[in-house]
Amino acid sequence: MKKHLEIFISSTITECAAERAAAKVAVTSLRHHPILFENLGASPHPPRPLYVRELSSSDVFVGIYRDSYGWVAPNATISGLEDEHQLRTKLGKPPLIYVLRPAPSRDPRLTRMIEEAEQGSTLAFYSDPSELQERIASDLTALVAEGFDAARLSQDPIEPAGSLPGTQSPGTAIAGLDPLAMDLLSALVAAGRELTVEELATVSNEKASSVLRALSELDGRLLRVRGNVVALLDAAPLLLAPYQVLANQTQIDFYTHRIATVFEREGRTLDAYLLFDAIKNPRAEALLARAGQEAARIGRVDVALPLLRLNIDRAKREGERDVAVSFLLSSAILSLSAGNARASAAVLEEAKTLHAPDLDLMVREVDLHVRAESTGEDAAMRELAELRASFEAEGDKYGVARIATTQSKLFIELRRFHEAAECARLAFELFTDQQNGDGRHVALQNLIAALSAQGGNDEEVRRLTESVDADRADTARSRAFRCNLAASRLRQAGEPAAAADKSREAIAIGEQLGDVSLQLTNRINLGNALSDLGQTDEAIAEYKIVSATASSAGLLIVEGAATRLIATTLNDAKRWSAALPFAQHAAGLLRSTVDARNFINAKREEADAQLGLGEVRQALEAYQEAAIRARQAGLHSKLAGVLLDLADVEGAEPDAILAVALAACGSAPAPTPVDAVFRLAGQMGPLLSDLPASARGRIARALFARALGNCPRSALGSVTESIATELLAKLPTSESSDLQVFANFILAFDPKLLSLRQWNAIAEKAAAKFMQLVYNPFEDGAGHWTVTIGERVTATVFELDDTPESFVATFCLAAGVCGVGAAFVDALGASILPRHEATLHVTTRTEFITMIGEQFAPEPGRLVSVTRATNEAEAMPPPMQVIIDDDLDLGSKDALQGASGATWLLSKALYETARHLLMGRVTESALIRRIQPIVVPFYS
Amino acid sequence: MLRARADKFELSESGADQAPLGRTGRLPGRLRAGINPTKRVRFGSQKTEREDCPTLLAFQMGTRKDKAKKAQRSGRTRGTGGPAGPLLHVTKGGIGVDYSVPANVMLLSTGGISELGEAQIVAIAYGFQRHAELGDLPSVSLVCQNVTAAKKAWDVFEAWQRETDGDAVRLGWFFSSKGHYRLLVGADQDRLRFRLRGYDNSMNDLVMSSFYVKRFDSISKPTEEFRAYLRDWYSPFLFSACTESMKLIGKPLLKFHATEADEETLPLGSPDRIILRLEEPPDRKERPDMGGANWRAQTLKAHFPVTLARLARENVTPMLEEAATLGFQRWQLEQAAANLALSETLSPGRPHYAALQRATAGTEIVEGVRARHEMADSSDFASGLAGGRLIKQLILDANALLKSVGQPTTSSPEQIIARLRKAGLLETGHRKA
Repeated sequence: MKKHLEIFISSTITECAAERAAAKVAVTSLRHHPILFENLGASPHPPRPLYVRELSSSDVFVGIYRDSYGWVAPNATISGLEDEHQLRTKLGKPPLIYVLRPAPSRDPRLTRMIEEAEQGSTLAFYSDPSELQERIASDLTALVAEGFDAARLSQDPIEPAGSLPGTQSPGTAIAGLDPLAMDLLSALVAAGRELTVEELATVSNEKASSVLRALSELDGRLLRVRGNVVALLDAAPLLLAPYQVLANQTQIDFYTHRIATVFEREGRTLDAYLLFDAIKNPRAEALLARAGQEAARIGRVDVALPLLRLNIDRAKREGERDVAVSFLLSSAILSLSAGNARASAAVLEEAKTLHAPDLDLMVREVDLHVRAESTGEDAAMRELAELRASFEAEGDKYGVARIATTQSKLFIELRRFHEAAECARLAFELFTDQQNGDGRHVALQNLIAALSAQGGNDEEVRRLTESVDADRADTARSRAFRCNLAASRLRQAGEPAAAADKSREAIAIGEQLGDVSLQLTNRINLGNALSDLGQTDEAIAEYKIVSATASSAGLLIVEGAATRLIATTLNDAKRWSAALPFAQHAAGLLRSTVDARNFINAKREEADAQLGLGEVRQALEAYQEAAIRARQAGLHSKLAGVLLDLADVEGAEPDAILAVALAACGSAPAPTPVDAVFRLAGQMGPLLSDLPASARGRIARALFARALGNCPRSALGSVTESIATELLAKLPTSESSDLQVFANFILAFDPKLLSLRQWNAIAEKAAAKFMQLVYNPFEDGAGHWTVTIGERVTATVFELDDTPESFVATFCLAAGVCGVGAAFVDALGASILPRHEATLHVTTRTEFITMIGEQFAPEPGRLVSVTRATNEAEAMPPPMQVIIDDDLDLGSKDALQGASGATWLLSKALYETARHLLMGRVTESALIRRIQPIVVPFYS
Repeated sequence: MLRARADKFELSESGADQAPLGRTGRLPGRLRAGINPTKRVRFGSQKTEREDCPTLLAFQMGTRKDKAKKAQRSGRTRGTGGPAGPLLHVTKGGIGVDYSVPANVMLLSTGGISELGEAQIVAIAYGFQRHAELGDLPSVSLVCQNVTAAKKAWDVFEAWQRETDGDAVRLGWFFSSKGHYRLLVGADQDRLRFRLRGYDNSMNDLVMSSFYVKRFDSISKPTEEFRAYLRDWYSPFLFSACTESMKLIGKPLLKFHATEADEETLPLGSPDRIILRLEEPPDRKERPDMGGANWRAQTLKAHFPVTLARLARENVTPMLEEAATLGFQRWQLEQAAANLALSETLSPGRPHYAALQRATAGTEIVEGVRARHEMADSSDFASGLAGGRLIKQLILDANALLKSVGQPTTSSPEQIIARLRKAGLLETGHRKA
């Protein structure tokens, strides 16, 4: 007699979540199989073909109705709920209908549907889920007892152990062994894989305790018991062969059938299918669809693709075009995941030729996915976003979640982790809301991957990782995922050897699953780890495998990325001539793809190689192309990196560098170097406004310093004043961030090259633009600044002597204090808190000694020091003294980069100011966190 | 010697000299005597005092006749009797000060230009000269017949250049649609200000200087080319004087900026139109609006920034609210707070400038403002306003303003507010000169 039934549960999903859970418990408690839509997994299939298929193969229909009529799909006239009900009637499935009572706000359409259902079946009413659970269990028992389908239940494949027809007990073949032990051995041989104690108990029809006793005889000899998992030793089949364990096909079939039945009962459809299929049991056909789906879901690409093909062929034979297309779409995505973009495209074409109008939108979605991932077409990414927007407009949350998942995957591959995290988070929330376990799992993994790669999200990543469903954590794919994450973390932690091991493990899993994409991803990681270990050739070998495999599979972006990494590795090893062709090839591959980041990286590698070979002109051309692409693609941090690279190029004429910078800014070439500086000043304002704060100041300083290095000394004063005026006019705002950009521009000059009069002229112009600053010079031209921020912060920064060096330091400190003050006010928010004041004195060492004496002066040769003066009135904070070396050159590269240079000096002064302003309001660590973004971009 | 190229050389343009505008006679070409840098000794100090800076600027304030005389003696400046600086209302109980009227300083410079007028310029030569660092540069040279006068002029110009730079001499080319153009030579106003008054900007400048304008009846190709060159933002050139035999007189000045414009495009009322005599100067009887409210705000912001910021403190709020209830405006509160703060410096322990002498109070207050560079040193502020001091200073200050417009003074806040309102002064305190 058949031991279990397929019970199709029909209801709205979110509204009836508790009811569906109760129904599931009721069904499984009777060892039957509940078919719940949310358990069918995230797939590109539209819902209808899925539930049509599942309902067709089910034995009993359970309908649960509360208030909602359910979602009506675009181009449909009735909801999925009613559609299932009508299909049930058409297919003649025995119904068990449960209706919530009372339900005063029931949708009239549902009321009508229930009234119609009442015509052909008996309704039962329930008031809470626990009551429902009891009713379903009771009704199902009664239904089976009545033998509602004698014909279907007449097959009884499971016979008690020991009654195998025409065979001897296999235990007799091995003298001295317990017959049960021999049965267990036979089962394990037939299964060809490890089994649990419970499974063995079921197969042998014995108690678990008896099974354990029998296993204890064999443990270590022929098999190994770990916890409740039992596996044959590798040598067991060899040892057992002489004893003819499972000597004939009937015996094999017997045990295989039993194990398959156990698997199927446990919901391991794929395992069950594979065993049924191995013994040509017709049950395999019934499980084909779900087995294919499960294989695709768990990433068993090697099994899934053939299964999907079987399903496709069957659907075609039976004229079920929707179903065939649905499987074709699954196959297309799986092929892509398996690293075969060409096969994916071919399958997609096959789907298009079948013409299933209901699935047109889905075909388009998958088509965009394949195009975006394989060729990196920008248009495909855009269309995908548009499609998501249309789903959002229609309220199709499932569609939105699906596309968001796809986008998150694509963004991760493009290393656009912030966008990836956003998409994955949205998908995760939507799938969770829809109780779609598989979708939720995939979205969660993408979210973890994106956040991990972003960095700085350790706590959230840890929390999310812990929330990965335990039942999914043990799959091979999940193990590979964890290996991938671990490899990344280990690399970041400076343990490349361990990272390499993890990557190798993930690659092995990829090979086991037949998932080429998984292999490629982790092979790149392996290459990175090997590169960290200094094993350049080994790393390159890995990248080359990836490049070749991706090339043959038509994965353009992956091929480009791997080729670029070869160039990077060779450049790192200063093998310039070897690196150059790879960099150029990578750039060529990526030029027309959406992967602008890797294209820019490739061009930078090309520039590096060219510089290594002494080909400065070609290097500048490569930088120019990289910078233009970065600007066009809105990749501001990349643009910042290129411009900083550019500013550091040695051996190039400043005007050549400026020409590239101008081109990157979208400006026409300048006739003279000084003209270029001026144009750059004009372009810098708008350009810098788009760049990340951490880069703005540095770029302004680096490029101007570079540019002005070529400016004749006689012209420097005039040029500087003109550029300052131009830059002030072009800086888009009067906010602190733009003030800091301007201060960095000031730092580009050697203070001595301008007179105090000229510095004052610039200071007056700056103060006129930035209202936070009040400039009122002393009569000798020394700087005196008052900084006021939001009526909360008032600070005075002034120089005690009258040298250009002190003047510039004073000016820049005033700008920096503006940044600190702004952060302070931001930190305070709208709260009413006391005002703060601070005073900074700036002086050269010589002046300090004149006034105070040598015993208190900082050590000679130290560019700056910051100290607190003693204070007679303790109620007032002592002013902060910033003492700079007389020959301080704030514009010099060495001074800015030196550990004891201006960077440290000014940062320290700002830090101390901030400390004074903020302490008591925030903790020391919070203070550092707040101040760091201000100080670092400004002075680092 | 000039290294002129034949096709870029223009010798024959000639025209009648125009008398320099505003020329007041020959003054010595002495330049700024220098500004002594002041040492500030504030290490460990919380006070805002500075050592007094000897005033070597050329200026005259109506309230300081002694300074005016001293300035006149220097031969560099001449007073013209402008507005008298801050409005004072001196009483036995204290002094009210309103900052809507600036202390004016007349900056006068005619040196160099008068000599140039006597140099008998007969032509202008365009060519190229070598600069030691910048290489070959376009050059403009005035061809002079009176070498002695030209040399004197260039001595002055070179001195100006040493003080600031070559752009201390302003050059302008103004082209007429009638086919002629005029060359303007004078002192650059910003650099003149710097030479004569240094970095101090606490007073309102009245700049007076001479200009030399020479008309040329035709516009040659080299002139047009030079004009095009000037349109570039970076257009260094050398400016010199030479004899008719092209021998240089003095050292060329390195210049980066010069004006070039069509006369018709000059805005009506602009100084250049007046200098070129394209329109008559405005009627001097109509005294310009000095922008009283703006000047007051500018003075307070520059010299009392910390005081203004401290007005936002919560422990000051009740006093401000009390004053506001009486009808006083924000600008009045800021001014009164500034006066109380300055009074604490000039008249310690005796608010409302009570310790100052009537005869010298104005000068001391002006000097006190000039020298004031406030420190955000967290010192006590609220107590200075407490005890009715804020209201009293408000009344004193308001009376200073009322008196200046011929209104009777009063100690009644209500009457003060009413009179200010009636005079149209309450909202902004804007007082037309």
